[in-house]
Parts: sequence; C-alpha cells; structure tokens
Amino acid sequence: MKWLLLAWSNLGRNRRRMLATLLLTAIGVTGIMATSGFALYTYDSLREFAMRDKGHVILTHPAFYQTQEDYPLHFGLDNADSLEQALRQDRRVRNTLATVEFSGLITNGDKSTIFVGEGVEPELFQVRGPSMRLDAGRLFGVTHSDTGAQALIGRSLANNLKVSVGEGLTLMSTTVDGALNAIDVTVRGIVSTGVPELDSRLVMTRITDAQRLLNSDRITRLGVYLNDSAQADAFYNSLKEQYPHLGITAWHERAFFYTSVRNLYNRIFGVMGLVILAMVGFAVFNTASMSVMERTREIGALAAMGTRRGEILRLFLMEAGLIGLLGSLVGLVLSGLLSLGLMVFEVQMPPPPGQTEGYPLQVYWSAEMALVSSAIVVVLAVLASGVATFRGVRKPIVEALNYA
Amino acid sequence: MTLMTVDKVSKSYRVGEADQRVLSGVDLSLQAGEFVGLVGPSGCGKTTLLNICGLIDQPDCGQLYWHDRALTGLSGVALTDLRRRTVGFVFQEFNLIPVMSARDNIAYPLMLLGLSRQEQAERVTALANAVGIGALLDKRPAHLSGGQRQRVAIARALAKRPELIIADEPTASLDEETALTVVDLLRSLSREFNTTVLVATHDIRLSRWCDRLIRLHQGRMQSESRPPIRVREERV
Repeated sequence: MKWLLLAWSNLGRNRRRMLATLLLTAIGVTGIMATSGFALYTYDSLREFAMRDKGHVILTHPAFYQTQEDYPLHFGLDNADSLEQALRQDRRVRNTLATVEFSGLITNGDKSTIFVGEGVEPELFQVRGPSMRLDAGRLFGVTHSDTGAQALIGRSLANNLKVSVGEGLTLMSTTVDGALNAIDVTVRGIVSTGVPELDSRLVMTRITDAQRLLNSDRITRLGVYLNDSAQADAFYNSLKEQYPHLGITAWHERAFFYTSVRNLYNRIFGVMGLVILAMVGFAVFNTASMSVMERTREIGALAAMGTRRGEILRLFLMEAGLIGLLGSLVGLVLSGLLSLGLMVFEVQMPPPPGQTEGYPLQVYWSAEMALVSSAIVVVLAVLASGVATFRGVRKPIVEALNYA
Repeated sequence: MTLMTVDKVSKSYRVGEADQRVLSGVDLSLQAGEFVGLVGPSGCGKTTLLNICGLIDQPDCGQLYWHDRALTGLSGVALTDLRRRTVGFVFQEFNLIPVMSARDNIAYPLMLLGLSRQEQAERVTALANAVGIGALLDKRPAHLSGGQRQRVAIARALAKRPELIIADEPTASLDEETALTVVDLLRSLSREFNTTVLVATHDIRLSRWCDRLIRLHQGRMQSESRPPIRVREERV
C-alpha cells in the first residue's frame, strides 16, 4: 500500500508531462472504444438485418444451396404448411415465413424487362420490421380480401416501366414443367430497398400468386424467426437433429455481406487499434524514460538505503500502471459521453457503397470492450515503462548517485 | 568490538583507455560506536573508500569483513539486505525523496524493514524531536532549509538504528554555523545509539568531533591520528 501511495505521489512530480501522457492515453482509449463501438454497432445492425431478411434458421431442400436448379423450384420444399405448423409449436419460435424465389420478364405491354421476384407471406413486413421503404401505395395486408394478383415493385423498376400504383403489369416465367406462364398483377405499392440494383429488378407478390405463376405448391425456403436471437445456435442444432432430411442453414451461413464487412472492419479497426496502442506505448515509454533519467540520483539513494532493484522497478511499473488506469478511466468516460452524444444529436452517415440510404452514426459502449481495452492499455503502459526503466534501475549505485 | 575491517583494498576506475587507481592497499578497521573522520584532498579516494565501506561499491582486490565475516562473494541481493538492516547514509545533497513529507522520508527505511505503523510513528517522532524538526514533519523537502533537510537526512539514517552510518561531505552544502550544528548532532546521536560513523570531509574543523582521523593521499592511507581529548570532550 505504501508503495502504491508513493507511486501515486510520484505522478505529481512533473504535472504537465503527466497530464499530457494521461490525455494521450485517454484519447487512445477513447479512440479504441469509439472504433470498436462503431464496429460493434455495424455488426449488430448487419446481423439484425441478416436475421430479419431470411430468418434465424433457414429450411430448404438439402441440395438447394449446393446445386444449381434446372427449373424453378427444382429443389423446393414440399408440404411447407405442415412443416410450418410443426415449427410454430416450438415456444422459441416467433414466426415462420415461406418464400418462393422466381424470375422472368415483366411487361407493361409496351416495354419488357427482367425481374427478380419473391413470393412472400403477408406477415413478412411485420416480421422483418422496417427493411424497406414504401414510396407509394400499400404493403400486403395480413387479411387477403383483394381480388386478383397484386405486386410490390422496386422504385427504379416502376420508373423504368412508367407505372404507378393501381396500374397493371404482366409477369412471365417458366413453370416447373418448363412451360411459359404469365399472370397479370396490379401494382399495389412501390418500394425502395436502398440498393439500386435490387430496386430496378424487385417484384414481390403473395406466395400463392408466385406458386400459381410457377404452377407448383412448393416453396423455395422456410425462414424461422425466433423470440431470442441468442437461442439461434441451439435451435439450429436441434433442427439439425429433428429434420436430418432437410437442408438446415444458420443465418450467418447466408449472411455474406455481414461476414465480409465484419472481416474487413476487424482488419481495418484492428490495425487502427494497434496504431493507437503503439502511440500510447511510446508516450508512456517517453514519460518513463524522462522520469527515470531525472530520478537517477534518487534511484541511487533508494538503492543505497537497501531498496532492492525489483522494488524500485516495481515502483516505476506501478506509476505506469496508474497512468494507464487513470488514462483508461478518463477514456472510458469520454467514449461514454461520445456514445450518449450520438444518441442525442443524430449524425447521419453517407450511404455505404452500392446503397442509396444513409444511416445514423452510433457508437456502442461495450463493458466487455471497456475491460479489454483498459486491461491492454494498463499492461502496455507497464511493459513500456519496464523497457524504459529497466536499464536505469540497474545502473550501479555509485554511478547513479553521481549522475548529474 | 570490531564492526568492519578493510584489508588491503584497492580500486581502479577506467578513465578513457587507461585504468586510474583510486585506492591502493588500504587497511582500515572500524570499532562499534566510533566516530571516524576521513580527510584528504579532492580525488584522494575518500568517497570511493566510503562507498566500499557502505557496501555500495566493490573493491577490485582486498577483503572486507563485517563482524569478522568476509563479505567477498556475497550476492548483490545479500549486500542490499545487509545495507537495509545495518547501514545508514547521509549524503552531501541530502537525497531526500521530494514527493514525501519529512515524516515519510524518515520512515522510509523503517517501511523497508517492515515495521508496524505504530512503531514507525514512535521512532520518527522521537528522532524528529531529537534532531529538532518535530514541528516540520509534515513539510516536504522543498519547503525546508538546507540545515533542516540535512537533519531529516540524519534522522532517516538513524531511524533503523544502523550499526554503521556513512556520511559523505554532510556539511558541504551548509553554511558554517549550520554545518557545525549538524555534525554536533550526528556525533551526539551516534553516541546515544552506539552507531559507528564514517564521515568524509574536506573541513578540517570537523576533526574535533572525531574519535579518529584518517588522512588519505593518492589512494593510500597517509596517517591516522586522534584529536586531543581536550578538544573532543569540549564538544561532547
């Protein structure tokens, strides 16, 4: 305790230098917390998006993700209704959504273009949450009282075909038998996904209309949405055992964008973190070097009085540890304020590459990250100080006492 | 009783390419409770002999005995522990720890010995009163005069009740009056605690406090004398 108090007192020897080192350490910790907090926020958002998009667990024909289909719904799922009913009995399951994927030509009579279609259940928009923006018209209602087939189409596709809500279009596609089929649809809504390439091709119909177009009762995939995302892995494993004849895919296996962003950010922010840590290390090294030089005579006197080298070294290490700890605490407070500030005052980020919508900048404040970054900074400060002071502390006593 | 024996000790320092001999075959014996002065011109080897006797430097050749036990071959840690328990230092520049109060400076060697807080406090108070700085215990060295700082240094050196005190020019940074007071204090306290004091000085006037005066010249012992008893007793 006495040593710690002495180390604490020593921090006040050169206040300007100590404050500068503390500030640099604090800024370093703030930087680490801010970058990691931004990365965590991004991972969390993308993970949430990926889970909402296709579900926590995806059920398909076992060959669906492995082999190219020869015709639509070649590797589709039969008896989807009974499968859905069985899955909804599980208390962990919030909802299930069947989807039919299809493609073909869409025409207004004068002009045709290719489309990428999704036959969806009307609950999709409730289950997914705000995954797309409705520019005009309405989404599908849960109760189906409308007559005739309806479609939601992407904003760019609507512009391309010069259609608005209430107008008619024709969808053409190949059926499971290889024949050409067509259905007329009325534009119910115009949507924007934020991805221009998708908005120029997207067509969404009710699942029954898609099945009618493809002339099949099959579905492409069944997405299972859970009440608690944390249970996704356990649920995935239980489905694997329960349905060995089906293709069971965890959400992250199809979350390619999430995985690549995570890998990219981990590298970018990892390098940034290393640079920040190097700066902190050099700052502490410099301070410790100056300190040991200025206190060489004192080190000699302490050693002459019978203080062991290890005890003197420990004193310097404690000082560095205290700098690291204090700097970390200040940095954690600053990063907390930054995080709060961004919640109160919204800062809009520009749209990511390939997208049209920006998003609000947020920085998560993670207790786990706070602990890890503080521990790393403290250990780094102690190591840097150890390197800086080791030689000074080992100087012969007589030489140290005569140091000018 | 012989506390320390220095037997034919020599020491050289490397200056540039050449070795410069600082001590040549010095013999010295220190008795318990003795106040021994080491005098001689600058560069005669006083400080080197003091450092060797204080166990903070090693001779190139010769032997050192502590209570008739040879210290040659003792590890650095063992010598540090021996100094921790038995040797006190009074430096010319005081070498107090600036961030510590006078109280904590005096208590520092006691902390190293692991004494309880109460025992530390008792010893510090007693010594501070003995050296006349009882009212200054909470002040830091920067707020003390040179004489007061040296009193703190003397109290610190005596705190652990060492068998030997090494004092290197303890009065060099003090004015004449303060210097005489400080040496008088060191002398009386060493007598009270039966502590051997080896003091190096340029100041020949301080010889009157010494039981024995050793004169060094070019690294050799030139003479050993005892000041007249009358002079010594006047001061005691």
